[in-house]
Amino acid sequence: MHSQLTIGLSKKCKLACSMPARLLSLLLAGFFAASAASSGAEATPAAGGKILTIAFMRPGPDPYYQDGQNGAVMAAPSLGAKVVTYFSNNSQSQELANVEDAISKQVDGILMYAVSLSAESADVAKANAAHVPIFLLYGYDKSLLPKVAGFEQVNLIEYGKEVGTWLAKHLAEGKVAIITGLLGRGDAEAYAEGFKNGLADNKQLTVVAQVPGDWNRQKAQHAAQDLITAHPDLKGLYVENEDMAIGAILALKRAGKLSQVKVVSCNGAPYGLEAIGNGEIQASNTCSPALEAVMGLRILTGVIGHTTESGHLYYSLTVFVTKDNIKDANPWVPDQTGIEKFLSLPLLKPVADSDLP
Amino acid sequence: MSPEKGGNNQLEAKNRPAQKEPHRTADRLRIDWTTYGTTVVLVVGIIITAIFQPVFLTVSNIANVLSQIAVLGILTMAQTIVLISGGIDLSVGSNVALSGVTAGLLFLHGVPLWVDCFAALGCATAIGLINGLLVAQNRAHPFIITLGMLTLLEGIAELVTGGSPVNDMGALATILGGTIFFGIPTAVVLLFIIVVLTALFLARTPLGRTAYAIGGNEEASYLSGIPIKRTKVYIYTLAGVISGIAALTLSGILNAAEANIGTGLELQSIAAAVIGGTPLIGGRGGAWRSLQGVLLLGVVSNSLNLMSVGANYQNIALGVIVLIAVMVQKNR
Repeated sequence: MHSQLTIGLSKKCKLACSMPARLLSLLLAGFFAASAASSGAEATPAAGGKILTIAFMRPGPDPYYQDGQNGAVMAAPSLGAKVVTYFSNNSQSQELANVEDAISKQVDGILMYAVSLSAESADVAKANAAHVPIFLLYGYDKSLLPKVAGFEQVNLIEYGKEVGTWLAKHLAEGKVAIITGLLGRGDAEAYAEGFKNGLADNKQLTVVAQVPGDWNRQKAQHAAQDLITAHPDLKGLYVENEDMAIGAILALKRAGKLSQVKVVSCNGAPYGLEAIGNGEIQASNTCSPALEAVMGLRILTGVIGHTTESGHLYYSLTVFVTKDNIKDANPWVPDQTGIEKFLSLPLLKPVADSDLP
Repeated sequence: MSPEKGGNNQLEAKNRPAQKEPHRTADRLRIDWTTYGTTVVLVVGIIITAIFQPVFLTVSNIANVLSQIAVLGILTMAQTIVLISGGIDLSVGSNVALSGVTAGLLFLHGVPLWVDCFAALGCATAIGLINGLLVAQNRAHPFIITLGMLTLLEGIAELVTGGSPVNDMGALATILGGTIFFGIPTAVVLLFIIVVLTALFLARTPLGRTAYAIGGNEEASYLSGIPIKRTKVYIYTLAGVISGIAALTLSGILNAAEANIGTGLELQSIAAAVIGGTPLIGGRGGAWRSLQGVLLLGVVSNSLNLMSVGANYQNIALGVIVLIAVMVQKNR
């Protein structure tokens, strides 16, 4: 992993003329280099005879992005590519520096989960200027679509709406609350909006609160504690991902309210599926980041090889899961057989971009 | 005047011109905003919330608030000691993550829980010791050294977990995540013990007093024969130990350990300490003051959730309240 973070830190350390700090920087460089080596894999050249080098960029340490990266790395050799991974540490400037770094290394394409909407625009501008195709896993800005190899993401509104619709059917009446992810990028807002749209099917249900969990398990746990205190008769709780849902469930359990509150969520993480299996989460809309990244890589390599048209929006495959169909969920952490299955699935079809903000 | 109450510099007091007699009564009646500014904002916040949301003052909600601030409170004590000595520790959050992950992974592999806890504490202490040695042995600012350590620890934690959380901490969840007696969360009791011990350490021990001296004026302390380097090593090591306790507490409360579990805690702990009245320049402040800052952040967050204030408005409200708390502490 050739993170610009290491380089940035080294510069600072030089300014400080500090040997121990330089040592730290070297340790970091060694660590990241080791990660890069592990992500390299033997690839069979594509039809053109060249092994493509694809830069995969993930914004943060969350398991979702990590598993997406793992999926891309595992699938790359079968697509005649090798993947070099970059980490943006939730920093827009770091992400832009990573894009510049990848361009200077003359990668053939960039596949990325962007840190934010504004970072996306800058990243795309840089990649366009260098004529490097860039594919965005979760592109939030419709105006960028003609400038990129493509966008792939869940249908943000529908993703939340399916959960709301399910709860509207399975909860007769009462108060419902929402714990959202971090606002500002558009996804957390869209999930909540979609959920409320779906919930509107049942007029006996009322959304009494919408509080932030910021994709953070501890914050979601606190939010659930506060919600159950303010609304002791709460009947339903939508938590926008399962990592936060696990924290919220713990809070409900400790308050003795878990049997009273139906918890629904999104993601399909291994621990989320486990919670669905033991009845702590009632339902979840699942999306495998590994499958998402493999599809993204397939489309990107197709665009580079001129077999796929650029500039389209694709919806990730999602599976709505309850206790009865857990095994239908696509795994987040697949083995090589799972990757081969992902590679054999029909390529996603472009959809209209009308749902994009 | 004790450092806790605002002034450690006796020379300053001696050199200050004598107050004229007629001003004394007025001075006595005037609120010392530097010391009590945060308290006033906290009390006003509590009153306003209680009016709009009566459930705020129920026993269960007070227990909620206290358990919610427990981890940050413990970690803020570590940060307070370091800040008082004129340093800063940006690695406390990632120390929490790596130490928690250490305990979690060992538990996952069937190692007895008590061994896991000692391993986590050992890991946190070693990180503190390395921080202390690096800070003491060279001229680079602790900010950049501990920033490097933050990045390093985050990377290691992510590498060893593969980015996935460890979702079972065994009995730690029932011990540190549960209640101890009369429904009081164990984490709250632990917080109280750590705050008392930190206050005693700072006020009553030679090392604690030395921390104030170094933070107030490192050069003068050196000329007075205070072993600066050794003291810094001890202080950062102690901060590491406390971070380890915070790591176990957080893992117990969440029944999980995760590589990104400590993200942001370093800045929150600095913010809480500064809001409470422990300045970034060192030499002043104390455990009880920092606890006020932690309480203020906890109460604001809890009350905004209770009143179902949306996320964006929560950020605005939190920012405004923090600014008010800092501004009322004039003469900072």
